[in-house]
Amino acid sequence: MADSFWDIDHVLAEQQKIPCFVALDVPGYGFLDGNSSENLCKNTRIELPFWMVTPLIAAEQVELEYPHCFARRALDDVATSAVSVNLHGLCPFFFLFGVKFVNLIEDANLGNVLADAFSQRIAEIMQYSQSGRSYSKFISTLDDTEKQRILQQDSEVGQRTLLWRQDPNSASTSTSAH
Amino acid sequence: MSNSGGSLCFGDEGLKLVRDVKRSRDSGIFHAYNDAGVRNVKLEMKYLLDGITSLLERRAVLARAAEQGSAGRGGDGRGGSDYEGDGDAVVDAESSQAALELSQGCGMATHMHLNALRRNRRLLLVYHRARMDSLRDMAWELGGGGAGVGAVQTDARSNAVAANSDDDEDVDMDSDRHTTTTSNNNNSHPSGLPHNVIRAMSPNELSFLNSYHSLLEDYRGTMLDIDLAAPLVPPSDLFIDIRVLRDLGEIVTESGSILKLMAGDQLYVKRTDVEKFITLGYAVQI
Repeated sequence: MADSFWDIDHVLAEQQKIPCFVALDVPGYGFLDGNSSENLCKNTRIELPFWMVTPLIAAEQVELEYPHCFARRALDDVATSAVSVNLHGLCPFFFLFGVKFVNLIEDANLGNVLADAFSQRIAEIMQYSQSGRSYSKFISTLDDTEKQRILQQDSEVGQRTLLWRQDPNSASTSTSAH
Repeated sequence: MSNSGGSLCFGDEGLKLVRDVKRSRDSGIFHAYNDAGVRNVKLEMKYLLDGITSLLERRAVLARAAEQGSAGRGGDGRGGSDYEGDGDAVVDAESSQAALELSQGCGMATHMHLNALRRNRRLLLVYHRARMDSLRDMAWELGGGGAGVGAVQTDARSNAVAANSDDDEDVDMDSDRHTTTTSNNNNSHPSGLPHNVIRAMSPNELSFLNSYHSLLEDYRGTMLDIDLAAPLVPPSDLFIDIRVLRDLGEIVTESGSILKLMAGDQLYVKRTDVEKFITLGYAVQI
């Protein structure tokens, strides 16, 4: 947690909304429900961002539901064919948020599905980045972590490999200089 | 998806700042300091703080009422709360229950306020830190050719352009700087940062940059034989092909000859003579 405090991606991932039920009447928070009454009534279903939910869960003041990107239907899709799911459409921070969410609720199944999907997709990403084809459509289905961390590094490595094939000596010097 | 759900929430204003800084990082353009946004976040934080104070007071009142109600005394009307019974034992018990629940609700609202306050603080800190980091990186990257180092002078006289290059940051990594110094361009800041970056900074950031720059100079001054600003990747060639993007006029090169740089020219020149211009985005390496 301490490391991620300054990380912009973490900040944005924690903005993902999670549907939940409040356990108490909350004065002054009626606006979350979308109506103009002052109080938020007990057991209303509202969407709160992750950063708001976490401390409230610890105090047992809200009950969670699964957000739609981890709802049963979406997870079935991911489990069936991880490679063809448009994760970016589901949630731009699918994996980053997923890890946070799994830690929040301790659902072993969800964790496994995420881990499997991630490893399956990595292989596909590698292939795309090494082949040098135009893959803009594919990129648009990638979650943020995949796009930034993996794909960019992959293509960098790919370029270096290419250099090395052309001329092993020059490539090795430029690599070591880095 | 993150902005779905329709309902506004605390922390949204601050989130815009952080989104902005992410965009700026991705595109490599240093965005202008969002003074209004920061002020809004501060206002929201002040509002939250006041809210916490009044919620705590209300909660204390309600809790006291609930306590009195359950003690069976009731009807005291202390604290002007609506939830006091009228002496009837049943009503008493009910109302004290209601008061208890509402006081718990107030507790939760306080909790939520506090979370929102913390979140806002984090958003502000992240925003400023991210900006500061990129300023610091630029100071290292572009601040190059330390003024303290007695270096070669390429004279950038030239009405050099009311500096407005958009690609200040995407200076390619291999545009190196050795001990070349251009005598400071009238238009740019001593730290060597392009003008549009300077204009995008808040006054505080500017003073940070100034102090950081002088600190950097001092540090460099202790090691005159090493140029700390030199890039870590060695240059591949002594001479490079460049394309000039702006009219820069004539410059005197290291060897004493005169080089005329006009927009659109393509030249094969000594790297050290033109590095400064590449760094500033007035020329690109081909």
